[in-house]
Parts: sequence; C-alpha cells; structure tokens
Amino acid sequence: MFTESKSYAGGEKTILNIFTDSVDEKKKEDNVNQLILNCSKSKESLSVLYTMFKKNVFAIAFTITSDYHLAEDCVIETFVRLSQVKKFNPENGDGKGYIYTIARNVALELRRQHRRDTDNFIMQSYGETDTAVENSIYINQLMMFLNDKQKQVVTLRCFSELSFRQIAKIMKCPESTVKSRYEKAIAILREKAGVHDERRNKK
Amino acid sequence: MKDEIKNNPEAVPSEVEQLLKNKMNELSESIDCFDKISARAFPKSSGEFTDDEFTVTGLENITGKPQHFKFIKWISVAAASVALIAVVPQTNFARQMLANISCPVENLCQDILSEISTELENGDYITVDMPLDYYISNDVLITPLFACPFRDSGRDNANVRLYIRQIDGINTTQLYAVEYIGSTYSEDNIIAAAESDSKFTQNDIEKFRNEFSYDSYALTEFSDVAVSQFSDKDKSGLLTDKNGEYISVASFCDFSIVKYTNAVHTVTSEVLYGHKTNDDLYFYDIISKSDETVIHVPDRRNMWRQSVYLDGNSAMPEENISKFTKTELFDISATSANEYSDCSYISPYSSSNGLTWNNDEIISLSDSYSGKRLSGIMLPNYETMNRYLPTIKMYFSKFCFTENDDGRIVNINLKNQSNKILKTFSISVTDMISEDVQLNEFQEEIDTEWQITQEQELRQEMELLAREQEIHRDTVGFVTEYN
Repeated sequence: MFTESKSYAGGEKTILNIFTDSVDEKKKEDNVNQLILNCSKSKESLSVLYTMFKKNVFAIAFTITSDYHLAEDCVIETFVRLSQVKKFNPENGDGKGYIYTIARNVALELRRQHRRDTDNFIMQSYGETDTAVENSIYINQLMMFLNDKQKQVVTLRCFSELSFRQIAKIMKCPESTVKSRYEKAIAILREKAGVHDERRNKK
Repeated sequence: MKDEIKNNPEAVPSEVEQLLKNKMNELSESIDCFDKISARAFPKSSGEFTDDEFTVTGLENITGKPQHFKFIKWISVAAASVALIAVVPQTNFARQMLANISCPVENLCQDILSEISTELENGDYITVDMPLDYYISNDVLITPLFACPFRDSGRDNANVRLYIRQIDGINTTQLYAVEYIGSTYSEDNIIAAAESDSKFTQNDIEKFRNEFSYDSYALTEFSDVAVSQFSDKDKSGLLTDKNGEYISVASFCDFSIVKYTNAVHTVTSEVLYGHKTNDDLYFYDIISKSDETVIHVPDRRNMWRQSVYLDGNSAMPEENISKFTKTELFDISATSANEYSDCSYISPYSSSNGLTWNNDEIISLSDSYSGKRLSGIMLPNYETMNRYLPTIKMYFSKFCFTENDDGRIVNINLKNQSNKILKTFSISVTDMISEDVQLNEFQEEIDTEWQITQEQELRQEMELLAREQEIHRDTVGFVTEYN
C-alpha cells in the first residue's frame, strides 16, 4: 500500500519516507510486544528477544554497574525475569522500553548488592579477552565523569537509541530534563576526552 | 581511547557517541549467556533423568536380596522418629531451638496482615494508596517521619497502601504499609507488608486525651531561621546554596502523636527541603520538638519494626533509595531569623481551599511582570494528610524585582507544570526591602485579571504624576529663570 503511495507522491518523498518509517517502527514494536507475550512459553521467542536486545541490555547494565561480569549477570537476570512476565500489557508502553526498564532496575539492584565490590576499582572485572578489558576500561574511564543519571541517559540514548520521550518514561522524569542531562553529559564527555589528550600530549 | 579522541580533538557530540557506541558494541559482542538464561527460564523436567535403567532398589531385587531387611530399615526409621519426638524436645537446646522456629518466617507477612485487619476494626485509620516508585522517591513529602519500607522491585504496577492510625483526627506513628501488584487492592495481589515500631494501646489513647491538646498549628520557625543560609548571590532573584548552586526551597510542618520509649508525645516536626535547579536532586533536613524542646526522633528507617515479603524475606531497602538526601540544614542554637536574610515566602494553602496539583508536579513561582521563574519545587499534596498543608512555605529571593521597580507592586504567580496560574500573590516592593520585617510573608490572594487592571492603572497614574512633576519643574525653572 505504501509503495503505491510512494510512486504517486512524487516530490513529497521525504514526508512519505518518514510516514513509512513510522509504520515500520510500529510493526517492529508490535513484533517485540508479541515476542514478550510469548517468551514465557516459547524458547524461540526468548531467543529472538535475546538476540535483539542483549547488546543494549548489556550496555545499560555495564554503565550502571561498571563491571563486566555483573553486567553479564544482569543480562541473564533480565531475560529470566522477562520470561516470567505474566501480565505484560502492550497498551501501557512499548516492549523495548519495558525490557530496558527491567534491565535498569536489575542493574541498580545488582549494584546495590555488590556496591562494595564495584566501588573498588581493583575489584572491578573487565572481561576475559584483551579487547574486552581495553573497551571496559575505556568506557569506565569516560563514564566516571558523569553522575548516575547522566550515565543512564547517555546509555539509553546512545547505545539503545531511544527517543528522549521513551527515556523520560523509563526514568520517570520530564522530557526536558532528559534532554538537558544528555546535552550536559555529552559536553562533559567531550571536555574530559580533551583533557586526557592534553595531558598525554604534554607527557 | 585516547588515540582515537586525540585524532579528533574537535569531535562533535555525534562522534563521541559513535566512538562510545562502537566500543560498547565490541564489548557486548562477547556476551553469550543464552544457555544460562534458557536453563533458568525453561528448566528441564525431572522426566529426563528417569532413564530406563535399573535403580539400586531394582538391582537389589534382581540379586534376590531378602525382603525382611526392608522391615529392619522401617524399624530404625520409627525408632529415630520416636527419639526425635519424645527425647530431643526435653533438652534445653531443643526447646530454645523450637522456640526460635515456632514462628515460621513465611507467617510474618500474614501476621502483619491479620494485625491490620484487627486494627482496622478497632481503631481509626486513614488509608492512602500510591505507586511504589513514587513513594520510594518522595517519602519525605508523604510520611516525613518514616522512610519507604519497601525495595524497588522493578515492577511497573507495584503500589503501596498506607494505613495511618489517627487519634482524634491527628496522625500517630502507628503505621502499616502493604505493597500490592495491580491497580486494585485485594488480598490476592499483596506481596509484602510492614508494621511500625509504635503500637498505641487504649491506655495511651486515654492518656493523650486527658493530658494533651493539639489544636494550634506551630510556626515553621526553625525553617525561617535556616533559610537565611541561602542567599541570592548575584541579586538575580534566584536563591543559591553555600556552593553557589541555584536552588528552590520549601518547608512544611508535620504533627504527630509519637510513641517512643513507651511514652506518648505530641511532636511537631519541621521539614525543610530544597531542589537543585540544575539537577533533579532534592536535599532535606527534619527537626522535631515536643513541649517546645527539640527531641531526637529515631532514624526514619528505624521507625519500622519489620518489613517482609510473603516468602519471609526482608523487604526493607538496605540503604536510602529516596530522591531526597539528608543534609544538615537546621542550626538549633540559632534562635531568630537573620535580619539580612535574602528570603521571603508565600504559603500556597494558607487562605484557599481546593487548590490542587498533581503529586509529582513541579510547582513554580514566577514574577508576573517579567515572567522570570523564581522557584520550582514539588510540594506535598495528599488530602488525607491535609493537616500540615497550610504550613507549606515556598521561599524565594527578595530580589525578584528589578532596580526600576521601586514603589511597584510585584505579583508572584503560583503555576503548575502546565504553566497554568493557580494563584497570585501581591507584594509591595517597599515591604520587600523593609528592614523592620526579617522574613516577609506574602499570601494575599488577588484575582489575576483585577490585579492586571490595577497594575495598568497604577502605571498610568505613575506616568501621569511623572509628567505633572516634569511640567511643574519646567514651570518653576522658567519662573526662577524669569525672576
């Protein structure tokens, strides 16, 4: 139907693209919602959700816990909880946001339980491979300049590619607050990265 | 990391984001834990372990082991049971142990729920329902003397019902809290319950009725003194804290009948709290007094006796998870408000009923003339706790007016989050700068439209007066010159 409209629309291609994208997005959302509803019974549905969201869930968990293995535990716990969800109502919100909300809450919970370990820089774990260690340290070093809420906004926006509105819903705060936090966080990240460079250059 | 950023010193935000994203993608690439998830989400049924192989018992039968050995086995089991039932309980150790386990943990939650049912039949209670996450974040505004007794379970539809005992319409510190799932409260969807440490007996109630009266509202005098630590550093109309961060400040009083160390006290608690404008952080301090003496009330978490889930595990958060952080704001030694305090205040509830806003709404004050925002903060707004609503004060800087405002009446608008004017307060600039009044209160309600008309008329009058003065001066000058 939309392909047809596209050929008739001619010069209004951009508008049509946006419309088509939003329809695709809606379909994708419905698909995720359906998968969440099925995943308590179907291993396949859970597997699809896992493939779709494991990276983003890990990103949220890692920025909150700053620990590779805790983040991995968080991924496991998030999907296990997701598989136990019995009363998911797609009308209350999108499934993607629902998964990220669980991930965020699980990560906060795990961090509270292991606060002593994660606060200790030496005790933090960075993964097994060299690349994982390097990347973990890289992300942790940058993120340590942000406060907790800024970290979460950056993660949800940058890694999970959520809209400010969706983030506001997850974090239960106004959209404008999310925007300002994000802008401030990005400014800090740029500035701090610059400071690192200068120091290095001086050496 | 550094090399990549060094090569892009002028990296625009999108590049920094991209860089972070790539790193995170690489990091999360190595995650592979679906087997573990699957094992927990879909545990294999025990049927898989019952292969069609011989069990030990089966082998015994095959080898033709005599069946009477089974009989001996049963006799030994019976003997052990008799010993366990008849002999062991006689020992002191066993008695102690049995005493400890006589109340299984699973029943703790049920016990609290049963106690609530009994209490509701015998005492006066008010009931308040709210979402759990709202109570966790804003517990200071709802139960100032009690922290939220439940952890953040991560469930979207978790709610809390509070039962607050009242004596003659005044809240006591006998509270019960129940966490339940779903929008409607029913016994089937309860998952946790908590009970306060205080329990009032009939004697306590009689004693209160005979010895105390609690009719008058106390003033928030400690808060009035404490706000003088906030200043308007650049005279811009915005208050700042000691670190120079812009803040909005409010206070209110809580009146409770408190029972501690087995004695009943009538306690007035003042809560002074602030909101950092640049960050969504709240800080607060609380001070309590009884018979004009400052008293020590236990920590807000310790006001609960216990908080348990249905399975018997503790539901009490291990640390403060509220949006409000305790900060020392009150100075008991200071007795009167600083004469040079930069603060004034309005009392939103003082003269009007029916003023409503949503509980999680930021209520702001702004100068109606310039539209400048002076303050923005959440206010307590539970009708069931309306006894302390008239004591709410919103503080703002006396320098909300500009230098040219001399003689003008400043209108301060109280607005909700949708920018709707809820109420207007009128302030004379002369009053604001008067040194006779240490901390000015402005709460005269004036109809907005009428006020605007009045203000326009006043401005016209002023202009007319100025013109007359100018004419007069010119005339006098002319006459003088002529003479």
